[in-house]
Amino acid sequence: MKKATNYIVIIIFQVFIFAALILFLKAESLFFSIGILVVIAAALFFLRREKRLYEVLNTSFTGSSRRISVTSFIILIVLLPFFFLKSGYILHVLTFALIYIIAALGLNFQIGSCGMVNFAQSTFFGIGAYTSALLSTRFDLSFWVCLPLAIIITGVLGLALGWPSLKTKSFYLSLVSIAFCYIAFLLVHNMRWTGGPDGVPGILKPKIFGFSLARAIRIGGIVLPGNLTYYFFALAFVALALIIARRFHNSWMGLSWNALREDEIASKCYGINLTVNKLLAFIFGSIYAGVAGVLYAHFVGFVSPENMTFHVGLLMVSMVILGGMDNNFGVMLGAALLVIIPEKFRAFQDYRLLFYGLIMILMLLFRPQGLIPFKVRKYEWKRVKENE
Amino acid sequence: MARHHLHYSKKPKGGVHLESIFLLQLKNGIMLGCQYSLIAIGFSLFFGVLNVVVFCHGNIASIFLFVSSALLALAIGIGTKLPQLSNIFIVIIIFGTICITGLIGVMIERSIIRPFRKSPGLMTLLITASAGIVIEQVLKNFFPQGSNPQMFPLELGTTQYKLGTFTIFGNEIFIIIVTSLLFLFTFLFIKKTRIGSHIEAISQDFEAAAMLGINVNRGIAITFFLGASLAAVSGFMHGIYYNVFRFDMGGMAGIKGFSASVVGGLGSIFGAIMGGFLMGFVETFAAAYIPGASPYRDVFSFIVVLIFLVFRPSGILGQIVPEKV
Repeated sequence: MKKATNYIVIIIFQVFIFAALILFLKAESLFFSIGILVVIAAALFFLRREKRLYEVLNTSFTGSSRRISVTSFIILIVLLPFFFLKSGYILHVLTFALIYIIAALGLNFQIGSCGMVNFAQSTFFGIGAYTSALLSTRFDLSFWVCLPLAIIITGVLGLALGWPSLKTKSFYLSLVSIAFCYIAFLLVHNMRWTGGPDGVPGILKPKIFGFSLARAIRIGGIVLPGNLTYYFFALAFVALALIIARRFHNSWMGLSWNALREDEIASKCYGINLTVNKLLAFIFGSIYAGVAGVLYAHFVGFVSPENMTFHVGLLMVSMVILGGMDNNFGVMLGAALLVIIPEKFRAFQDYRLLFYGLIMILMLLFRPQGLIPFKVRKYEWKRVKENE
Repeated sequence: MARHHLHYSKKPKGGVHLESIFLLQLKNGIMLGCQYSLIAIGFSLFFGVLNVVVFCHGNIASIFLFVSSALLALAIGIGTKLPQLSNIFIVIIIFGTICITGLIGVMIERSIIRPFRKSPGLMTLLITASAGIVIEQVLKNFFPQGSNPQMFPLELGTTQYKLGTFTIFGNEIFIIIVTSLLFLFTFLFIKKTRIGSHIEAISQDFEAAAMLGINVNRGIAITFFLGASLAAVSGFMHGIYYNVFRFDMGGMAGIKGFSASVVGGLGSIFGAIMGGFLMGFVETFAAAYIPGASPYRDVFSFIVVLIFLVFRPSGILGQIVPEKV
């Protein structure tokens, strides 16, 4: 009986959040969208005070009601784009959010799990995008050939950034990543074969079994636009990325990452191979960014050096900080918020970076652990459950 | 990125001796080095007292440029009516703005760095990086025509001095003299005055200094005032040397200054000066002597930074500190 009420509470909460999100995206006037944000904030504030409800919702993705909450969440996220069939723009924004979620999940390996602040995630995003863009426009290679090639290239370059990072720590490591970011940006910006400041236009959308994702699908009288199919395409990648990231987090590797974040010397004494673990964090993080870049290039059809500036790297770092370091769901929430909310306030386009900066400052001052903070691992509980 | 580096337009055209090209590049390198090392000293001072990297330090220089150029434009407007007063006005305005910028540095420490005194240094790096973005965007959006390149209203020392084929301008001599005086001043201030010894005590051991009755917060505030006003002077140098500045120059200046202080050895003032000049020389000589390298000159300086970080992370003058458990 108690379980059933828990399920209902969780489902109602999720439906409420999604309804608010849909209304927020559909809202025409600025006041209305701000009002919705205020309503959500107020609702969350009151939930905080209701101890029992808060406990149910807080453990919904980890506790006993995990299966039902994940299922309802998946159903809602699949249903979400069907509310915007007429508006290609909002589908565009939602797909952007999915793409940035992948990059932020990758950055979380380094910042969240290992505590290495890397500002060069945008570089790998850009390198992935450029690899795919150049290969597909110059050599007519298909998406499915570009993707593994981009993965290999970003992985190798991730290793190239990881190697100097092994010898450095904290500020020095961040400076290495900043220098790397600027070097890559300047090279891409100035070399001729990358298209220079003009970028690479004319990248086609991928095909699955000869069916182009750019085409709209007609079922009866309903037209499903091309952006919708790409949303699901990106969603599949996000699901894969999340599953892999969770497996990493729950594996020995994730545990070693956390250990070396807390204390390098102590973890070394316990026999953790710092070299291998740090390099793996860099390689996998860069591959995530590279995949996100490939998806971006084929979605937008145009890549320019603006995609790999230091500012974009800082934006990705702020996604991880805002959401919550070392918490995959938090990072996804942070990325989604930082993509969707500023797009809604397009009228204040000039103030977008100001907004990011202020959010970062306020978050770091008042909630440095992020929106959904990292939870302490509980191994005891799992063993008990298996014995039951 | 630094498209307004006008000194490349001062490059001599054919028929000039190799030596004089070398001298010219040396001069350009010194000019850049003066600007970088003034910012790098700030990084080193802040790292010394608090073990933090204040990433918005370069943006402080651009605050100075924006505020002072607005005030100067106003003063020069008044000065046309009162010509005998205008020079005093200008000097007062420059000094006043340097003090204001120093106070902004103190404010930044109070508001966003002090809450993180006990947390890991990376938090400070992140929050000051965001503060840098906020400063940059405020300058861009809330200053009239802030997103356009701005002209610095003060023209200083346009007279040329010739030594054979080598030409030097009045403003360049001014920059060299003022920078060396400031190096001397900073050095004497830290080594010879009472407050300077307090600052050194704080940077050696924060808690022990507090126990010995040193007013730690005052020492830190003075350090931030000094560092920020040195950054302001660096901005002033930029203004009178290039006469053009942009809202986004601060980010690059900060990264260059940070790199310079790391190359020289974080925490050491003399190291910061050497690092700044090294960065300036690498940039100008790479652009001048490596064919086709002009657009990539920042790449060379960042490669130098990477090499230093990998092979000598303690910098030129830093000592290798064994890690304590």
